[in-house]
Amino acid sequence: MSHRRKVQAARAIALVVGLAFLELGPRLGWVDRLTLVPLSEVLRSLHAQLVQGKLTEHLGASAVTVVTAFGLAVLTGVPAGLLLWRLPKVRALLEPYLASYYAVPVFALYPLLISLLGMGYLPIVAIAWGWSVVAVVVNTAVGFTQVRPVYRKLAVTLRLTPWQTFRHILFPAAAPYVFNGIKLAVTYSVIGVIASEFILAPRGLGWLISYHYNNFSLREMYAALALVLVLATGIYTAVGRAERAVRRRAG
Amino acid sequence: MMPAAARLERWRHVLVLGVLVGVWQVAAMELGGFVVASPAETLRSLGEGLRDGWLPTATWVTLKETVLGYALAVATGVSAGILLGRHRFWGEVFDPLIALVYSIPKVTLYPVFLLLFGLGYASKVAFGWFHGVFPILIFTAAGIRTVRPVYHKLARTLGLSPWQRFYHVEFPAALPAVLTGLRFGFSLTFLGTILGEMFASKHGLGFELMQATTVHVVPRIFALILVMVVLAVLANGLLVRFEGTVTRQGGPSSAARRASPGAPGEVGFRSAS
Repeated sequence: MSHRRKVQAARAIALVVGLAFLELGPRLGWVDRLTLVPLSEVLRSLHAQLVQGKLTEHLGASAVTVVTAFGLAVLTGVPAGLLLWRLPKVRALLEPYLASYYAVPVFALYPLLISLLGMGYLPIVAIAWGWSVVAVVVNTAVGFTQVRPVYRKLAVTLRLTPWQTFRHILFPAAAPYVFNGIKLAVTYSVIGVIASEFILAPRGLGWLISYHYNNFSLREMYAALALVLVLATGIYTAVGRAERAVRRRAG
Repeated sequence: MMPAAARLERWRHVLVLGVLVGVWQVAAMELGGFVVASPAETLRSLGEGLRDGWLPTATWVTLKETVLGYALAVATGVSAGILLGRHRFWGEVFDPLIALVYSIPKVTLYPVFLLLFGLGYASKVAFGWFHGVFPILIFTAAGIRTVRPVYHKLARTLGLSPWQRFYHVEFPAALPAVLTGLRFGFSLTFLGTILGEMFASKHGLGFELMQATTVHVVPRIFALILVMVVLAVLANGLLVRFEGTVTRQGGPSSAARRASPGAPGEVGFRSAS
C-alpha cells in the first residue's frame, strides 16, 4: 500500500471510530442519554424537521445574516487592507491596535450595538461584520506588504502598467494571505451570528439551539447543531473552491 | 535616553489613544447617556464597582477560569502538537480533521458543554480549553515539522538519543512558533471563558455584562468592557514581550517564520514581518 493510501485509510478509520462513538456511546450507556443522543436519531430528527419545514425559517434567517456579514466583511475589508498597504505610515500607527484586536473578546461589545442599533437583524450583522472584517484587513495588508521586492523589479523590467502589475504580479503573490483572511472571516461571521442569536434574536439557528436546550428537547437541539456545522463547513468549502479557481486563473 | 525615532513613535501612540478617547467623548455627548456612557461616567462606575467589591470578585472568577482552562490547553495542545509534529504519518492523518474542528464555530457547541459539565465552573473551564487548545496544537505541530533538515542531520551526526534530539534540537527550534500559538491560544481561551459566562453562569465578568445589559445600566456595561479589554491587551502584551525575549535568546527563529504564514488563525503583522 502506498503512503498516501495508508494515510487515507487511517483517516477513514479515525472518522468511523469517531462517528461510531457518537452512535454507540449513548446506546451502550457509555455516555448519559441526557447528554448525548445517538447520531442516527439526530439525523432522523434533522431529516424530519427539514421535510416538515420547521427549520426553513431559522436556516434562512441565519444564512442571510451570515452571508450579509461575511460579504460586507470582504467588500470593506479588502479595500481597507489595500489602503493600509499603500499608506505605510498609517499602517505603522495602527499596527499595535490591529495586532491585539483579536485578543479582545469582541463579542462583549454587543450590548453597545444593541443600544446603538436596536434589537433585531442590524446589531447581529454589525457584530459579525466587526468580528470578521479585521482578519480580512490585516491579512490583505500583510499579503501585499510581504510581496518580494524582486517581483516588483520584474514588473518594472517588463514595463507592466500598474493594473498589469497588480493583476499578474501583486495579486497572485498576495492571494494566499488574502484568502486566509477570507476563510477566517467565514468562521468569525458564523460565530458572531450564532452567538448573537443565542441571546438576542427571535429566530435563527442559534436561537433554535438555545430554545431546544432550554426545553430539554435534545434530539432537536443536536439536529439544529448539526445543521450549523454543515452550513459552516459548506461556506468554508465554497471559499476554498473559489480560492483554487481564482488562483488557477491568476496564476 | 531613547532615540528620537522611538520617542516620536511613542508620541504618535499617545496621540492615537487621545483621539480614541476624544471620539468616545464626542459619541457620548452626541448619542446621549442612554446609548454611550462618557469616559468620566465609565470611570466613576469602575470606581463604584471596585468599592462595592462586585468587580474584583467577578474579575477574580473570570481570571481563575481562564488560567485553569489555559493551563489545560497549553498542556494538552503542546504535547499533542509535539506528537503530531514528530510522527509525520499521524500528522498527515489528523491534520485535515483538526483543521475542520478548528474551523467550526465553537460557540455552537456550548450547550453540549453544559450538558457534559453542568452549570458550574467546569463547563467554563472546559469551554475555554476547547477554544484555546487548537491554535496551540496547530502551531506547535507546524513548528516541529518545519525544523530545518540540517539540524536533524547535525543531531544524527552527533549521535543524539531521541530524547536529546527533541530537547536540544527540535524543541528550541520550534519554540518561536509554539509561543505564537500560545499567544493565540490565550486570547481564544479568554474569549471562550467570557462567552461561557455570558450564556450560562452566575459569576464572572461575562455574567455581570449580561446582567448590566438586561437592566440597561450603560456606565456599568462600559466599565465591564473596559476591564475586559485592558485584561486582554495586558495579557497579549506580556505574551508578545515574552515571545520577543525568548526568540532573541533562543535558537533560530527561521522555523517560526516559515511555520506561521498560512497556518490557520494567523492574524497580525508581527508574524509576517
